[in-house]
Amino acid sequence: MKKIFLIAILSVFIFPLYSQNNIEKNPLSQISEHFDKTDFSSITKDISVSIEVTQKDVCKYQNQYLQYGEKVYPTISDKKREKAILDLIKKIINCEPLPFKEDGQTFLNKEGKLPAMPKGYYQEYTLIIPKDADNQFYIGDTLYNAYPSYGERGPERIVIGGGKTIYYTPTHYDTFVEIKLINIKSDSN
Amino acid sequence: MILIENREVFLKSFKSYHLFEFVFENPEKINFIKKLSMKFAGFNYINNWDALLDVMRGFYKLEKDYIIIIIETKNKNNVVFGQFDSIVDDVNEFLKSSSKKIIFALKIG
Repeated sequence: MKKIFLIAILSVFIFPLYSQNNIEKNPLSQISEHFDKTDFSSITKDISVSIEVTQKDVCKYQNQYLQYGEKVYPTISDKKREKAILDLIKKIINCEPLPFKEDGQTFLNKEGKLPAMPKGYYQEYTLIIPKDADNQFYIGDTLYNAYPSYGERGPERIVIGGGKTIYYTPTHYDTFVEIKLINIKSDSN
Repeated sequence: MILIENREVFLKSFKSYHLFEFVFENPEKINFIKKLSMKFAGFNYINNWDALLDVMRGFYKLEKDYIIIIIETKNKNNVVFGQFDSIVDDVNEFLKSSSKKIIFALKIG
């Protein structure tokens, strides 16, 4: 009975005092108190000046998972088109300047033909097709008729999703084909 | 999207603008997109909002600061107008960097 009485007194009066005392003595709580009282505004100003993110940094971050290859899969029968795609993606990976203001802009996927993703997930790029490219070509087993090329930019685009998935639209966003760039050597091994 | 009654009075409020005008009684999406892209850029094959938006981003090359699109219609509640209004908002976001703006107005005919 005496033991039960002693435990009751300890739990009601002594333990709370002990644990409170421990919190007060905890070095972490002291640091946090100190930080609460410190004025960081001047330090924050210094930090914001010293961090400079260039457009190239953003580009490199955006496309960090893109990998270059020597061939497009599924196979594109028109080799000039394939070369145009490979050249463009190489430029995107290397963050080289592209000729049009629209290049690298957000593709908004208004028609929902690509998987639904948050705004900013897809970037679009103008794919310039050489004038002597084929008017009819296969992508895999599907036959495409080239769209008429009006204006400087023509109708063909590359859309990159999440900095890794590549879509090719030969039909000005009417149809999309997901493509992969493969390396001939590693593919044959 | 702005509803206007008097075309002349409305246009007087802008000093310089590039004007596109259309008449649609009760448009269907593909026909609407084709007519607009044909007039905006001479593209006769465009059949989707993403491509029309792409064409309209090209307005940054126009000299005038305001690009006014007036559509005369009898049915202001047609769903296509609402969809086009959202395209205009998206294009305007892009045009901000060129200090240009599209004004989309519906005139009830």
